[in-house]
Amino acid sequence: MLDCAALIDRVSEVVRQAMPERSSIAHLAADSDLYDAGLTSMAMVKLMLAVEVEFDIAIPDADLHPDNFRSIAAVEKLVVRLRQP
Amino acid sequence: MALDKYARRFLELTGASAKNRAGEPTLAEMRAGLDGLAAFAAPARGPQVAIRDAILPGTMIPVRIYSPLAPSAEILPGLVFFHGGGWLSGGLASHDAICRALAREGGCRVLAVDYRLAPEHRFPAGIEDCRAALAIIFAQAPRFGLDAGRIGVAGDSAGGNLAVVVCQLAREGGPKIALQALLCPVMDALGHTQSRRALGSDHFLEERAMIRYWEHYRIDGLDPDDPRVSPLRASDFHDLPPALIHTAEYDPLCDEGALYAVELARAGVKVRHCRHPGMIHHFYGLGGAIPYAATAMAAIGAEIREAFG
Repeated sequence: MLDCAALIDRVSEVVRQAMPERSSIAHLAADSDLYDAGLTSMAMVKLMLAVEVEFDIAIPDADLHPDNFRSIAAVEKLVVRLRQP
Repeated sequence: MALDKYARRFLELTGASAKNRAGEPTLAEMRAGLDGLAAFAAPARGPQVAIRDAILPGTMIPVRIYSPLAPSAEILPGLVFFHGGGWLSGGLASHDAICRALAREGGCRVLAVDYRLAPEHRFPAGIEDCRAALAIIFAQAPRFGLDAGRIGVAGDSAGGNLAVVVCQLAREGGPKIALQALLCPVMDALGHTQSRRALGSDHFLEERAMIRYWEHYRIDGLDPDDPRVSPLRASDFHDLPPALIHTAEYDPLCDEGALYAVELARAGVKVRHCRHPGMIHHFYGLGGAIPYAATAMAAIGAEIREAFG
C-alpha cells in the first residue's frame, strides 16, 4: 500500500514531466487547473500514457476524460480509484 | 495486420484528450499540437549528433545542421530535410528528434530547412524556400561538409510533398539530387484514394484537417491537381532521383505513397517502398509511445546508408 504523501509526489512528478516546456509548473498546487497552467491536448495524451506506465494501470475508456486530468489532485484521485483491487 | 496495440492506445488517448475541445482547432492550436507531438519522440539512444544552427548565406532561410559523430568524416553525404505539418505548422523544433535519428541512423548530415509557412506565406513560398535552400547547399557543398554527388532530399507528410515537388522541378536545370527519402508523404492535396476514404477519421490525420491544410496553402486559381501541390498528378516520372518511400498501413496517405512508388517503377526510377504494417501517420516521430518507431527508424537509416553507398 502506498502512503498518500508518496503517491501525491509521484503524481506531481508525472504531471510536471508531461507539461509542455513553456508552461508554468513552478508554483503548481495540487488543485491548480492544469489547462490554465498550459496543458495542451497533446501534453494530456502524454500525461495519460505516463500515468498508465508509472502506476501500472490501464485507464478504462470511461475514465479517459479530461476532467480526470485537470489537476494533480484529480489525477491522484483517479490513480487511487483504479489501484483499488 | 491489425492496428499496432501501442498505436491503438495512442489513438484512443488522442481521441479522449480532444473531448474537451469546442469546435475546430485554431491555427495556433494546430501549430501547438504538432509542436506537442515532439514530446512523444523516442528518447535519444546511441551515439549523439552534433547540431549547429545557421542562416543560409544570401537568404533569410534558417537551417539546422545535424552531423553524426560516427562516421565523423569531414565530407559526408547529406539529406536536405523538409518537415511536415500541412504546410502551415511544424518547424525545426517539432522535427528535431526525427532529424537526429535520420542523421544518426543514416550516417549522413541532415540539413533541416525552416521554410516559410502558410497561410502567412501561401503557395509557392514554401517551395521557393526549399528550392533556394537546395540550390545554395549544392553550390556550397564543401562549406557544409557535404559531398555534392551525394545530396538527397527528405521529407515527411507535407514535407514529403515539398521534397517530391522539388525533385520534379529540379529536372529542368536544377541540381542533380541523389535521393528522395519520403516518410508518409502527401502526394495529392485532395486525394481520393481508398485509404483516404477508409481512414479519414479517428486515425490521427483527419481528412477534414487535410482539407483545411489545402485551404490555408492554396491561392486563388490554383488547381488542386496541379503537380506542384499534387505531385502524383504529374504527367512524367522519368529522370527522378532514386526513391525510398515509407508508408503506414493505417495512414490515410498510405495509398498515394504506394501509387507514387508504382509510377516511379514504371518510369524506370529505382524505388524501394515499405508499407509499415499496423502503423499510423507520423509513427516515426512517436517512438516514445510506439516502440516499433525506433525499429523502423533504424531500418530507414540503413536504407539511406546503402543508397548513399
